[in-house]
Amino acid sequence: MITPMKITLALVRGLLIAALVAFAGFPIYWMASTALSVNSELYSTGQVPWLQIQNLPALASELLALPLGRWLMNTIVIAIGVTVLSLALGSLAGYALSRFKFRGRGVVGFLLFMTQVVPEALILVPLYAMFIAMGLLNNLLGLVLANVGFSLPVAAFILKSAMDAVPYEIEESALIDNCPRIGVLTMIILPLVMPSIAAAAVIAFFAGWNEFLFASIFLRDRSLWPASVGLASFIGQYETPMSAVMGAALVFSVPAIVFFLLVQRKIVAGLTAGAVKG
Amino acid sequence: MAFRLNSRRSFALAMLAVSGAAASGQIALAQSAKEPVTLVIANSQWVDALRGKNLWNALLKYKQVAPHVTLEQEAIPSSEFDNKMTTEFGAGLGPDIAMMQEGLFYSIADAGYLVDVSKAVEGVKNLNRTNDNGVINGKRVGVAWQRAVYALIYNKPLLDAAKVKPPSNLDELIAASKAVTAATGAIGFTSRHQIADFGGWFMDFQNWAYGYGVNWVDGKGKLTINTPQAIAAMAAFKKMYDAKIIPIGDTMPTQRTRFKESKVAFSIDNSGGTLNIASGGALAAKDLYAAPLPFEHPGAHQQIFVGVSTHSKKQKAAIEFLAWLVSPDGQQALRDASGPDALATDVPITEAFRAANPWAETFAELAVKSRSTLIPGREVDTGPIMRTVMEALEKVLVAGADPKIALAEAQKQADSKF
Amino acid sequence: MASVASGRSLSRAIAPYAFVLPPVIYLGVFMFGPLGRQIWMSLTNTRIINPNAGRYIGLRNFERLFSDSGFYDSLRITALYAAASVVLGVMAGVISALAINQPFRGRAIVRAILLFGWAAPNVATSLIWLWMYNGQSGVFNDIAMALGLERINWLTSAEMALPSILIVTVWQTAPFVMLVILAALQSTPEEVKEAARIDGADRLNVFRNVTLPHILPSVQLVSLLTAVWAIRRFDIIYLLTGGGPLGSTSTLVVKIRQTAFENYELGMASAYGVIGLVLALLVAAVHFIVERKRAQWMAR
Repeated sequence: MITPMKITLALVRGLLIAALVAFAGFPIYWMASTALSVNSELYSTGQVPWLQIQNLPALASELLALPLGRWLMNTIVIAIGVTVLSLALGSLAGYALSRFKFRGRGVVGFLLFMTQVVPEALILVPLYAMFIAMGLLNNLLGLVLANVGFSLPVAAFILKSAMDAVPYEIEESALIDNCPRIGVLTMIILPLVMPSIAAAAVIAFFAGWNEFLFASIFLRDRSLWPASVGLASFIGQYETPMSAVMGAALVFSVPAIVFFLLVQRKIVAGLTAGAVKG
Repeated sequence: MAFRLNSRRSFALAMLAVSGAAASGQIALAQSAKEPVTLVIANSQWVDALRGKNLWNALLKYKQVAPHVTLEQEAIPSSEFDNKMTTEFGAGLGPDIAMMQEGLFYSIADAGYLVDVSKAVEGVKNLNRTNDNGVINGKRVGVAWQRAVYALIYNKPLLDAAKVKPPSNLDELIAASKAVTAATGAIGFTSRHQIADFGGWFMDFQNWAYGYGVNWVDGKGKLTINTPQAIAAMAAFKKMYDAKIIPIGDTMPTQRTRFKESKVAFSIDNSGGTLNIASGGALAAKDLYAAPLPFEHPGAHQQIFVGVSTHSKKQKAAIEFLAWLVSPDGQQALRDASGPDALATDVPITEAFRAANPWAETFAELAVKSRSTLIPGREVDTGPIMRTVMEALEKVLVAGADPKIALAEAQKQADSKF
Repeated sequence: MASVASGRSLSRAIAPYAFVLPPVIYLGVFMFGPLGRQIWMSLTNTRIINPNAGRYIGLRNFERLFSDSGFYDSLRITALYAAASVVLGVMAGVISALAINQPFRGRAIVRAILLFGWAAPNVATSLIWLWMYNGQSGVFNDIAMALGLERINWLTSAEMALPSILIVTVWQTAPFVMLVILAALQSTPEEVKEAARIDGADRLNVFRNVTLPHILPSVQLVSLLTAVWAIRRFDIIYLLTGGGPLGSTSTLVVKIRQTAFENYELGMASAYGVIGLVLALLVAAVHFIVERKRAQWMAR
């Protein structure tokens, strides 16, 4: 049945999506356009607004001369480390906050929140001093540990609100069957909040993906640089090669998007799983 | 996913092993077998595409005289260099040797993190005045690495096309810029003009300040911000800003690349920036010229010093390296990679370079009278002091404040803070 | 928050701590240890160049802070920036999530595009927006001129700088909001919607009575997070305007960096940081009050 109301709604939605895509997508397009331009256009005659595909080989050879692969690898190590650790610790905290009333519950919630208001620049120096003692300077693991502090609480919050929505009866029967709590969490609750796990994973992953301040101060070896520091090194004392930076930035954004698209399927899978059980 | 757990120590051990292996072959040749040693050298220039490699290769010539020494880069992007050095030195770590802009150099020296390197310059007779500020509180804690002096540079073909001559004062500069734009469509002049670029802008602005005779401090060490000269310098900068000859909103890297692409007639830049413009762009090095600044008095220079860290466990080797650096061999090696920057000793620019770069000569001449961008006696506080000055200038430019009033306010702030 | 009905009281008493301990220990070591030290530093005259030589000076840093007019400006700018980025960012994010919640052809691509602002490295984001905002050859001014408008000083005028930064902020944070809200939407119980529909409720009513209450906790959560993140956002502001022009984008964190790394006054910078913490805690207090009100309302 097609009613005028439905048509209007569909039209409004279509226009809305177009507007959102234009706002979110234009800078991407412009990055690509900049990457495929040559200096004389960018700085003298004016940027060509369409994508000059013929400049792709030149851009590619410029990018291939850089250690992009290594930077990318370091970034992936950091991002995955941050994701795994944040989810593991965050689901424990989220479950405790969602399911138990215990002394100190308010304090824990408050402490988790506190982490979000700490400017990185502020804990930089004490963390640095601590990492010297722990041998974590110039070390990717150190960067993971420094970053999880910021993304663990977000994961915990997201998982807690998702678990709040899971009816308690579902785990009750398992508890009666003498299943240990941790088993209840991993085998019953977590599958039910899959979409939120996926969302938390994406957020933690991207936080690790974007890590910059700690990496720029804690790392000494160029071979350990993540992509963000590599990109910043383009901003030279004298000039910034725009097309190369934009090309590299696009290259670096792609794996993150791919990760999201992969996880996104989980969001849908989680939904169906939840529907079956619910 | 396995983490790379290479701590600083194991990495150093590995380097030691490598350098040891390299050195062992030479032991038979060398008179005395010296302990292999690795020196870590921090410099933001290592990241610069072309210049970084050239400078590094110059330093690697040290291997010929000291085969037991392995040099290792600590490469840090210039935007993060000061933060990182400050953090590392403050924590008792850091490189053995660092090349630092004068401002950072003073702060690190002031905190007592630089060792006495007078042994390195013992018996060196030809050290020039670029090394003077390397002596702090009577102790030599650094030698000059490079000094980049400022000049008015111009694109000669554009000037020829518009039939204008290099200007000798501000009004001529504005007129000439407008003439070039009218004749060729190119941008007249470039200049830093945004607080977002504070670190570079305040150093560039010292050219205007010094050019109008400003001394930010009087003979007794009192800050003199609110002077007729400073008012004149700000009014002059405002006049240039309002003349619409610069690309408002452009960052300096963008403006430099525009110059490189032959799209700009004039700029005030230092020799490092000019060397960058002269290499690898549409504008041929032979078409780039330099003239004295269009002001009454001499302008400024940026200075980089080399220092040795008190945290280093290889101070002796580091000082030996510095001794080589100021020796004729080291200076010659550095000269070839440094363009026309003034070095620790007066090594002449090579004939080949001079012939290919008509702009270089002027820079060498201007280096004789240029002044440091730091405020004498207030070196460590120069950044914060200049921030009050630049914020006053910003009020003049963006909000149309009267320079007199803005500087009076800045003086009041400076008096209460410093 | 159901209380546990099982009879095993000892394990019931221990269980929550067993779960909460690992994350709390982690945070204690890597977050609150350093943070505590930093708060202590706000009472000292520590310099970054020599962090162990600071002396206790009581509240002198705060006295200096409260007598500085620039501090109140930065407080005002921080509040304005945080409020605006919450309203705009959350609105854009929720609208995005609602728009792409239902399947349509090309949805995966649209999602990927909408997510890009979150995926792009901060350095790249700053550079491309700087380039687009460029007064001389930026595409925005090209468009403005093509439309017959004057050149706009996006980042170089005191009126436009903060709005320009806000646009970038929305571009960066809306994807995060979208992601969280999308997850909430996806777990909205379909059968409840179905039941409402069978009861004859139209789409708007279903949205108002089923979907909205379901995503409201998430909306509130992301509002809180975007607010406190705005209070500590640094990279893009620093790279785009450095706090200028005329201090119009000089937030607390910009002040922290300037004080710590330009003036080397780590103690003073920590005092700025403590103020930032207080500000964020105020936001959190509002959040918790609102949440309690809602819980009461829902219990009725």
